[in-house]
Amino acid sequence: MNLIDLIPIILRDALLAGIVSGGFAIIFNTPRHLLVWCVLAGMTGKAIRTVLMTGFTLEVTIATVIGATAVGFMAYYVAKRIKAPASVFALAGCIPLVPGVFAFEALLEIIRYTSFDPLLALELLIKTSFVLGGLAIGISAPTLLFDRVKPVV
Amino acid sequence: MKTNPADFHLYGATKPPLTHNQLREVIDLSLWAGQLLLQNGAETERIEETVHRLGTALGCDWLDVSINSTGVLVTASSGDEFRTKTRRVVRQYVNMATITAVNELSRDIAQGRVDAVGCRRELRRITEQPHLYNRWLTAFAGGVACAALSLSFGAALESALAVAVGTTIALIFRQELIKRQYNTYMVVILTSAVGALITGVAFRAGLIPDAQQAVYASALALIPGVQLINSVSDILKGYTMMGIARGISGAFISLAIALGLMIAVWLVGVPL
Repeated sequence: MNLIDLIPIILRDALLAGIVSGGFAIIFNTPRHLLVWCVLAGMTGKAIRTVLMTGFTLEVTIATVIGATAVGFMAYYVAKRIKAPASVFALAGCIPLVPGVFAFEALLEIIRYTSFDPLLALELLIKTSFVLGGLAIGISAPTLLFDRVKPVV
Repeated sequence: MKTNPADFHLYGATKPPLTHNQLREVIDLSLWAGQLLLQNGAETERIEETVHRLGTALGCDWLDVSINSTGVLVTASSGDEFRTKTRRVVRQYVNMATITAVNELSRDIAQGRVDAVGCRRELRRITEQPHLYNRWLTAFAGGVACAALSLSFGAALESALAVAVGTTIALIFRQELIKRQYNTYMVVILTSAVGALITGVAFRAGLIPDAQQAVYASALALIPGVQLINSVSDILKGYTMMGIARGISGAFISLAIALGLMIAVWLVGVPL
C-alpha cells in the first residue's frame, strides 16, 4: 500500500492509542503533569507499529518490538529530562500494544469445549507470549544498552 | 568486639559506623520505601536499587535486599553491626504517583537534601496520599480507553459506546468489590462478567452490530499488562523468581477474565 494512503489510518490509530494510554495512565494514578507524556508515548508506539504492519507488511511480533523500542527510548529521554521514572511512560505507552485480544482468543479457545482447536490455541498463546516478550525487551532496550553500570547491589 | 572508629575502613567500611538504634531507623525507612514500590507495581530492579541507595545514603555501608512476591527482606550493615528485617506486602496495585514520589525521595536523599526525619515524614505522606483522581473519573477513563481499544479492532461506533458504558460500570463495580476485600481473582471474574454482560445485553437488544469485539474490549481494562511486562523485564534483568511469580499471577488473572467472559456469554447467549 502507498504510504500516502496510510496517513489517515496511522492518524486514527495513533489518536485511539493516545486515548487508550491516557485512560490507563489515569487508572494507574499517574501524576497530572506526566499524563501528556504517557499519551505521546502511546501514540508513538502504535503509529510506528501500524506503519510497519500495514505499510511494510511486517509480522506483528517484530513490529511490536520496534514500536516498543521507540516507546522505550522516548520514555528514557523524557525521564532523564523531567526526572521521573521511565517506567511510568513506558508502561502506559505500551498498553495499546499489549496483545489482549490474542490472549482472550487463546483462552476462550481452550475453554470452549465443543469446538476445541488445540493447534489454534497453542498458536495464539505462543503469539501472545512472543508479543509480550517483545514489548518488554523493547521498553527495556535503552536501559539494557546504555545503563550498563556495575550493579550497586 | 568493638571496632575502633579509626579502624573501620579495615572492615570494608567507608563511613562512620552507625549505632544499633541508628541502624534500626535506616533499615526501617529503606524497607518502607521498598514495600511502597513493590506494592505499587515497580520493577524488581528498581526496588532493589532504591532500597540500597536509600540505605547507603542514610549512612549504612551496605544493604542486601531480597525481594519476593510476598515481601521484602533487607539486611543492613554498618561497621561491625548488622540488622535484618522483613516486611510483608499483601496486595499489589499499580500506582505511578507513589513510584514517582519514592523515586524523587530517593534522589533527594542521595543528594543529601533530606535526612532520616525528613524521609520518615515524606514516606508517611506518600503512604497516606489519596488517589489523584476521584473514583468516577478513574472508572470513566477506563471506559473511554476500552472504547478506543474496541474502535482500533474495528468495532462500530455504537459498539464502542456500549463498551464505554459497560466498562465504566464494571470498573465502579470493581472498586466496590475491592473495598469489600474480595479475593483478587473473584474481583476479576465478577468484573469481567459484568462488563461483558452489559455489552452482551446491548447486542441481544439489537443496539450494536458486533458482539465479539465489544465483549472482548469490555474486559480489556482488566488485562494485567503492567504485571505481564514487568514479569518479562524482571526475568531479563536476572530476577527470575519474581518474573515467574508475576507472570503466573498475570496469567491467572487473564484466565479469570476469560472465565468471567464465558459466564457472561453463557448467560446472555452471545456467539463468540
